[in-house]
Amino acid sequence: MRTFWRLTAISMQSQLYYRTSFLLNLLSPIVLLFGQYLLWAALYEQQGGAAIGGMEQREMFAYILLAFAMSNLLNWAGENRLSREIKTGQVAARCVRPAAFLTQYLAEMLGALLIQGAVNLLVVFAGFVCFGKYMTVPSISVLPRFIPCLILAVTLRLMMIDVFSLLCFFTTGYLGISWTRAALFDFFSGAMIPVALFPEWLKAIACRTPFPYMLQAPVAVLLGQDTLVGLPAVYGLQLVWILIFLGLHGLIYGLARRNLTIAGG
Amino acid sequence: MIKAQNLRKVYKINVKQSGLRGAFGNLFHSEWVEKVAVADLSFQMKEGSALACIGENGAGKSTLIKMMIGILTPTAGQIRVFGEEPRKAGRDYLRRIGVVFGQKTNLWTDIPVIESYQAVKTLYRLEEKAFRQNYDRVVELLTLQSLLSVPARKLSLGQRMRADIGMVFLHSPELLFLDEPTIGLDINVKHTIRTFLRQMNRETGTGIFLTSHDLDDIDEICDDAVVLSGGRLIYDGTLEQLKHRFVQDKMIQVVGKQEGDIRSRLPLSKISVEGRVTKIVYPVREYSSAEVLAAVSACFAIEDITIEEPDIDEVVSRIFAGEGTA
Repeated sequence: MRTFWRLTAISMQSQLYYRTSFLLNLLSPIVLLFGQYLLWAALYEQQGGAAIGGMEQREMFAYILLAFAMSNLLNWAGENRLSREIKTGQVAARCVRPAAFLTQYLAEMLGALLIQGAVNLLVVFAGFVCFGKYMTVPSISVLPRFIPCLILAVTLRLMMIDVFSLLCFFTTGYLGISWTRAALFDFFSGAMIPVALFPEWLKAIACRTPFPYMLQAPVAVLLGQDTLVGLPAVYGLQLVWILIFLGLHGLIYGLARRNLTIAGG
Repeated sequence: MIKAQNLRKVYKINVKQSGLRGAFGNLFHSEWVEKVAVADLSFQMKEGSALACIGENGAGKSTLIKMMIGILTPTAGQIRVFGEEPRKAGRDYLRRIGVVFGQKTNLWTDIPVIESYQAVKTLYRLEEKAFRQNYDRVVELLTLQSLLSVPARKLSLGQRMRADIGMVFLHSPELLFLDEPTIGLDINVKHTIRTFLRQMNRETGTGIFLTSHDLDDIDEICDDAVVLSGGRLIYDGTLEQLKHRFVQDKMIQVVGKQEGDIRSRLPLSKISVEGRVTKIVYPVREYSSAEVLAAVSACFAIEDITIEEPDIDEVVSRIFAGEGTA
């Protein structure tokens, strides 16, 4: 565990070392949050304040704030770090360290998201304090259900990013893989539009993918909304998907080691 | 320490068709060809020795190193390091070796160098005393003190390589793999690194497996060499024997008055005279050094004499030109 925490600490230090870059990474997504707020505010105004897809305006504003905080836990650079290392061959340095590949990856990602998570928590807290009268404020009583769901959701997302990144061993361009992953996550996780607003057939498809359990589920638990499949099933599905991604990690990493060509030999 | 037997690595390479039409065609059809990077390679490296791996670009040097580290899996054959198969040996094996890639860094780039060194202490589970001893030594010998507080990203190539080389010695590796460690460095940094590596090899017995295009690296650091060409082994032996095998001429430079006819004694040699200095270039297959020295002694009142050793650059250029590889 000492190795894990040392690598986590290094990752946190790396995040904080370049002040301007750190601040820009932290604050620029807030512009997107503001854009989402304006979009949904305009839609609700058009509806005369009536619910959209069963979601009241107060619920929606709380949803987009929390979905932003969850979705923005990792920035683009952090998510693509492993892919870039694979593409440049720098991954070789990771392979010769006496620590498991997955341990190194998870520790580094945890370091990155702990910093971002702390800032996001502040943003969410400030949002509810300043604009709480326009939003559904989560109850503290849901925290015992929310926290395990959040931990599983974050682990699941990290494993999903890991598996997509490992696919870069088999292609020379990593951006296509990264964009595919980002598009799938943004759409099916509920980061762009709550899954609750999807038509039934699309909702059924979404529920068979891992993505809603990375974002929609924990936000729904926090807001006391329908979790689509019931809370025990959410925990179960999160665990099952984590195990599936763990299996895929082993499979793809093993294949990559057998057929790997690292830049320069 | 290292034993390779019939080691083979084959890559599959996607061949793209040329032109715009070919580019569209590539979207629907892929053609794969096999490229043999390492072909049936067998060699051994003794414990504590320094072995150079010489070869032109694409000869298979880096692939060989990566198989010995355990990053790549051989297509066929066997490689054993410390009696174990690197690919399966795991973390304990990685704690016994050190690896430096000249074109990549093992340092964490966004944190000061000293933090990377501290991380090594944790990763390799080093005792404070052992760590401190190695740390003090590398900082002194590689003059790293002023670099320790700087993030690797902000270091020049030479500074970064010194820091990388220093880091790899912190856990007292028994065997070091160096893949072109002096590539792109200036002459002073190269000298510092070569001297350091040679010293560590001699004093601590750390084995060194070195690939380099810089033949001065090889000359100064290594005693033994393997030469690869097109993935095949074409020489395995000492560096000294390699030089002699591929060198056709040697030169003796004599300062002093000529008193006899050297040309008649060594008719197959080329002789040039500049003032009191006479240069004699002789074919090693025709004359032994003893014969040449006897002739020189008989013909000159010698004030000074220099025997020029064969240059490794010349040796390697002859090897890759295909001369004397029978």
